[in-house]
Amino acid sequence: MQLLKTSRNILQKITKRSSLPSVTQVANAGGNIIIHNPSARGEGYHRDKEPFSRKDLEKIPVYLEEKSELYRRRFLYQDDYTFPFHRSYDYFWKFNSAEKLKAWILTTDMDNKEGFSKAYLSLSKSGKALFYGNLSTKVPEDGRVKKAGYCNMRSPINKYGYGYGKENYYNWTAFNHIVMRFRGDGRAYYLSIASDNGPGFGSDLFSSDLYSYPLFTRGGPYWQIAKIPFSKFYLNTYGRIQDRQEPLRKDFVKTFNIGAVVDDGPFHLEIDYIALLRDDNHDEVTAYEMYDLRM
Amino acid sequence: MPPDVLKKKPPKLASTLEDRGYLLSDEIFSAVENMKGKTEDGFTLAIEHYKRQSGKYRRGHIEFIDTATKKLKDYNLHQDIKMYKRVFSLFPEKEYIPPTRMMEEFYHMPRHQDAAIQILQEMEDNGLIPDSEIRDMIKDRFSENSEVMYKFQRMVYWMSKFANANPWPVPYHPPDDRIELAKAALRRMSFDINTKIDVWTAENVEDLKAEDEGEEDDFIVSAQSPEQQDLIATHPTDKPVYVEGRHYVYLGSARMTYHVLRTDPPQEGSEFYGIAPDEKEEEFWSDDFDSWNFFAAEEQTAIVPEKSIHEQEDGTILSMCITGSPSQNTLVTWLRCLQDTNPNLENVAVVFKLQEPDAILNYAENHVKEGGPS
Repeated sequence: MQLLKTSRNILQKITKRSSLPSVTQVANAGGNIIIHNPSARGEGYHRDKEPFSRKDLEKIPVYLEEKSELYRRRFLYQDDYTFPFHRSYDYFWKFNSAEKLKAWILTTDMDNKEGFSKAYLSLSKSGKALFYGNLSTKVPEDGRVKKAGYCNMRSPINKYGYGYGKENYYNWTAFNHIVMRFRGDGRAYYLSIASDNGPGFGSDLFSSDLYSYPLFTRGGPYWQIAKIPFSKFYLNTYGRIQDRQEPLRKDFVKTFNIGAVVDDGPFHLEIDYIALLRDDNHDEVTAYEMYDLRM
Repeated sequence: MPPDVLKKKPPKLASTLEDRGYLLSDEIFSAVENMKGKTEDGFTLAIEHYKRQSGKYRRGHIEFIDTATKKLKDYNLHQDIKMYKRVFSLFPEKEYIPPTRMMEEFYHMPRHQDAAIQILQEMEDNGLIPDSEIRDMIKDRFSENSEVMYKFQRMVYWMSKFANANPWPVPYHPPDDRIELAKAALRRMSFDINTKIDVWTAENVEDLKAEDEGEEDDFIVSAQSPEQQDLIATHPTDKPVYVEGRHYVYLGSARMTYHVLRTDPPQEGSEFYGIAPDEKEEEFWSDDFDSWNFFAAEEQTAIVPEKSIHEQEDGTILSMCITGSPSQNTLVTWLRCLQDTNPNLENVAVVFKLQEPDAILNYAENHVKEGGPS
């Protein structure tokens, strides 16, 4: 863990020195409440990406400098997950300041004019993340949409590792559990992990593949801790569970999502942290049958 | 010779449309609603009327089935598997079975299969696992190698896997009684297994009787454990306790609001905290592994008593309640009822911190700029 921490800090220092926009700085524009704020035109999810412009050319020397720095330190960051041991853990995300919230992206069905749900993310009274909103299963009368009603919060993509501002994957191979500390309202929420099975960014062949599992809450004023093994996450595409399951590729994790679905009405989920844990007593790869009985 | 069903005249559902001889599926349901309301009897009458008017060839049954599956939720029958079977039985037997193996492969009678899949989808959305009777019905109507059967097989396989995934299960048919609902919700919310749930109604407490006639009697369902009673008994009289709320809690699709009786958390630096957790962690990581060895002794700085579950980091929870009406008078009655088992509450100042459950949501909604990129 010591090695893990230092190498990551160094990477963060490098990016700061080379004046690259860090993850938190990019989403710094809003106020104190992180708001799901769909544009009136309903443009979809990827509004934060700007088209390539002349200004990007100016960044090339910066990227080159960063890349050479990374190359010099290549042995350091290779050590990231080489020494995992039983009970070792890492905080994937610890919500303890407003800065930490701003990197997350909120999406609802309203984004593409497919519903009327609203979602917000802000700092709660106890200084943790509060994901709340109003879920509406009302279907817009456009003759196309059949079902509506979801709110989702999506983690940022890993920006450290490659240089050139290229997005990297999260590597979670050292861990086999996800641990969350939260306080809910009695609903079931959906955790989903977007993971690539090989083609990489830019390919949309598997872009709708998700590995999901519900997060059950009890409601009330008490904090809860959930420990869910990765083996229980099932493969689904466009929300449809797949006949042929595949185990989750933990070295190609793109994003981690928390979603509210199903029941109409206001919801709130307070989250302290999302952590990864290694438990050597659990050696299951997937909880679902892998054999194929078809001819 | 016309079949027997046509000899009988269908009952008069709508006098204005009588002359036409038949009714559209929407018209059947609206006519039935006028006669019997949105009930199970009305729904079955609609199906029977359709069967009678459509005759031997059952013309327009797909349109009728589509309408009926949508109407199930309106009639509050969406959790009843019997009704889905009744709708499904409108598909004629043996008509859509593909005669050859090759035709099976090419989605035989697609529109009919889509309508049947839609019924199964509606069941899936409402959490109903289909049974063997539905399997036989599909086998008789669409054959074993149809898309409908595949959908059925997927549902049976996956839904039974996740049916008991919830460690704090929710009753599939939530009780109609609000007091029973509140009890179940409080039982689910309380982490202490020794929690006792008390119910106070108008029979026990006079203050809970309705003031005017026609109003419902109020009730209080309260949850408190012996450990929480000890916490109140040892509570210093110079510090206040708070009544906070309302907050939402869900039990399945049923929504309730609850109030909490709590105090401030024990202050840092008091005997409850040895070293702050973050500080402890930093201290641990500040040493290199190289200089660390097995013989380095741990220094003990304080004896820390074990914290109870109720001492959360943002407050110590002393009790929870769900009331019939959210008025402050009811909450005062709750505190008075609590005083029987917690005599120390009389000496402590109580501060009411009440707000509507939608307060944060409304604040956020009012501070959002409409449109424009975020």
